[in-house]
Amino acid sequence: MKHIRLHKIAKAFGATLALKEVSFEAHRGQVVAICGENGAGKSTLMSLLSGSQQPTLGKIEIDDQKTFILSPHKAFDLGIRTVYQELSLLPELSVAENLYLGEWPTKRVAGLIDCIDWDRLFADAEADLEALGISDINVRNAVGSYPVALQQMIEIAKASRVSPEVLILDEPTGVLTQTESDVLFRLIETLKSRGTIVFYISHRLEEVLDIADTFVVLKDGVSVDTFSREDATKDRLIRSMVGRPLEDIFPKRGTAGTEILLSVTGLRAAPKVADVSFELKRGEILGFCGLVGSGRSEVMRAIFGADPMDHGTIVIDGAAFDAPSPARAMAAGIGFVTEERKVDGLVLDADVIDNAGLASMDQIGWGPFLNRPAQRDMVFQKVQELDLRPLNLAYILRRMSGGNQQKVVLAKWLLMKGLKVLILDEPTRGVDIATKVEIYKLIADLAQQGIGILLISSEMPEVLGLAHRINVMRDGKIVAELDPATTSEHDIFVAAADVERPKNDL
Amino acid sequence: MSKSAKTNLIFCVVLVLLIVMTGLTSDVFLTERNMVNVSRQMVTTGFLSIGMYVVIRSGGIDLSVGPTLAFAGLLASGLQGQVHISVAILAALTVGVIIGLINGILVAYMRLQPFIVTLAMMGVVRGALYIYSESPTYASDKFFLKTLGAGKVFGVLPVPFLIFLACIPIVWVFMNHTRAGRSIMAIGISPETVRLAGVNVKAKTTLAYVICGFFAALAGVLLAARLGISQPSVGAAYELDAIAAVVIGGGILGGGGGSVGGMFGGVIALAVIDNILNLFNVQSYYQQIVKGLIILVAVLVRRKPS
Repeated sequence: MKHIRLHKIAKAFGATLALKEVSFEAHRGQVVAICGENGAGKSTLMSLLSGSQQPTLGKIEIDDQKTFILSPHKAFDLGIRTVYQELSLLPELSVAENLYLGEWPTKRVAGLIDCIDWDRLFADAEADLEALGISDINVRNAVGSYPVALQQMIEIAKASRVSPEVLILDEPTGVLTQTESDVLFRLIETLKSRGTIVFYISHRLEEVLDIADTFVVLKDGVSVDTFSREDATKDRLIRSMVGRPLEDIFPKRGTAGTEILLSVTGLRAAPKVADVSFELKRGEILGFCGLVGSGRSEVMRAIFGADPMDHGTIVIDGAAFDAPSPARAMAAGIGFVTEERKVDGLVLDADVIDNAGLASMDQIGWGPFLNRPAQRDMVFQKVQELDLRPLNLAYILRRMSGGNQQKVVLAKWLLMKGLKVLILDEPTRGVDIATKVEIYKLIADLAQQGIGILLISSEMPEVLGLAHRINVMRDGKIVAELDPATTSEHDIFVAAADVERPKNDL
Repeated sequence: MSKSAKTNLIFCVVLVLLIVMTGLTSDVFLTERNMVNVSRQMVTTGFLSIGMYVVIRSGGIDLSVGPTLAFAGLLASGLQGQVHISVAILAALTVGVIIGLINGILVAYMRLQPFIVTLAMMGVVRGALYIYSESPTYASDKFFLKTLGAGKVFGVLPVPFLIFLACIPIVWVFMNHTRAGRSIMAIGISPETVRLAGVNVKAKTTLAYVICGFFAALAGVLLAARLGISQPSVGAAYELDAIAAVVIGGGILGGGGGSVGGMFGGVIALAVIDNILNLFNVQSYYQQIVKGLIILVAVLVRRKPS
């Protein structure tokens, strides 16, 4: 494939126009970044290219030939491969079986039966991974035995194994650490050199600026800006996406109080938390940094009682509470926005009321009964305050964008009575820029009201821009306390990475 | 209107059309006598479906309702003459609650699969039944037979049917307007989310099975009162009708769909269709085929667009 060209593409779902007018072209060996807020039309655009939807108007040309990508199967035949955010691997099967799913090599045994040729399968799979520069994966092991980050690499390897003409990557680094992302970027370089066109969707602008050759910015279903690497700046990207300059992203930091709100001493929770002690002041935003697996999330889960803790003392507002359970942590005033909102933050097939009202059911009603009208009013007021869109309480969460889903999770905890400490684990993951800005402002406002915030984020600018202090974790311990005013991303990284270990250790 | 509510409406229209058409072609169908019959016959499936709805909502299933029903019926009849009738009934209902409690504890606290737990319980309870009484038991209590079983209010409405009707709003209120009910609904979709919202997920899940056991026992008591005779073999495959009613009403095995109204509609639909097939003397083998097809069509219509 030499080039692919989209000409005035529009896509309607019923009366709504998901795409209004999208035009751009991409050439062999190019990485094309598709940028835009949630709801801008990125996913729709990708579904057109991967054949799961057809455009309502406009045409797609491949090598000057008008092409109809009528089905995912057809896309496959054209050499278009897609890696979605949600992994599609079978965790019980080996890496090799997953890579060759549906195309397992066979050999005839005893002249009768075609059996799977395991030796060849494993050898081929090993050769593929090596060619793609992925080490440290044993193709005989079950996919499920690897951490999500490596599974993501396997998923991408599966799609790139055949050197596709077009590779579509949807938020591929969402779960990856910096080192892992670097491996992915090398993989993309390899594919580029083989002539693959890579469509790359990512919320991480720094990353996109690093690797893309061309940029297409979508806003409200229109390709509002396309430019090449030479003209690309973060400022231009953000301005095209949200129509707002970069400086306004992080709100002004308020002053933290002096009174200690939460103190954690000698916290241990096998296997990830070795020994953690820290103090959080009233109105303080305390950042937690560290690589994936450093135990950041596990500390929070132990404090909240989501996982059992082995040892430690937690004192909140002068009162100790031990052997925590979620109910007791909530009674003590702790709220917890978890890392994976789709897994344990939301009841996806339920509506806004049931989700946002989940942590405050004890506050309204008589005895076992719920006062549903009161619950409705309470939820409505809160989600309106958070500018939920659509502002429809009967809306099922599964159909909402990431940003709006996160607002519902936040509403749930803000509605809890007596909130004193709010734990935020990756509060802006998979959230569009506009909503990110709103969430940043909300975090700063909450701190101003005297609520203590424990903020975990893999996006270091976020922690640097919001936190009053930063704790860096490694191997289940806090290894450094940094002042964001005098700290760079590099400093955090140096503290978080274990320098004694070789760098290529994924 | 949501898609599921629209589908419910379509099903209602189809059901009404069916009733009208049958009424026009059959002299018997719309008679008072037949309608009373239909209302009587839907009661057993009805009670089982109420309990099944709650359990399915929690993300589980209960296959042990048939033997539970039989056990409750036998106890309610067998204890008559020995103790006061209210004690007999109470004992029967308690057995249902205990079976539900065991199911719930095994599912929620021991983290075993609901299908397997209740399948095993189905065997255990059925076996225990035969040990308790191999032969049929006859009820003798006057209140039990005449009022509870054969009694009619206003001379038309059978008492068991009225009790069933009264239970529908109670369950609706429970599922929609109590903390426990809303929690059970949410547990069926994402138990971990609910746990992290401070809800005792294990206790609430257990409660769902207890409710199911209770209604199975209630169904057994009223069936024994209506028939006057209880047998250890009664109730085989009854769980399938209950599951069918819930599914026709929009319920999804594994949690996350359906409504009390939908379940109620499912119960009525199954009873009416059974009755119509009987009136037209359709052989029972064909009846089974028709019922199976109806369930398939219902889930096909409710299928989510891919």
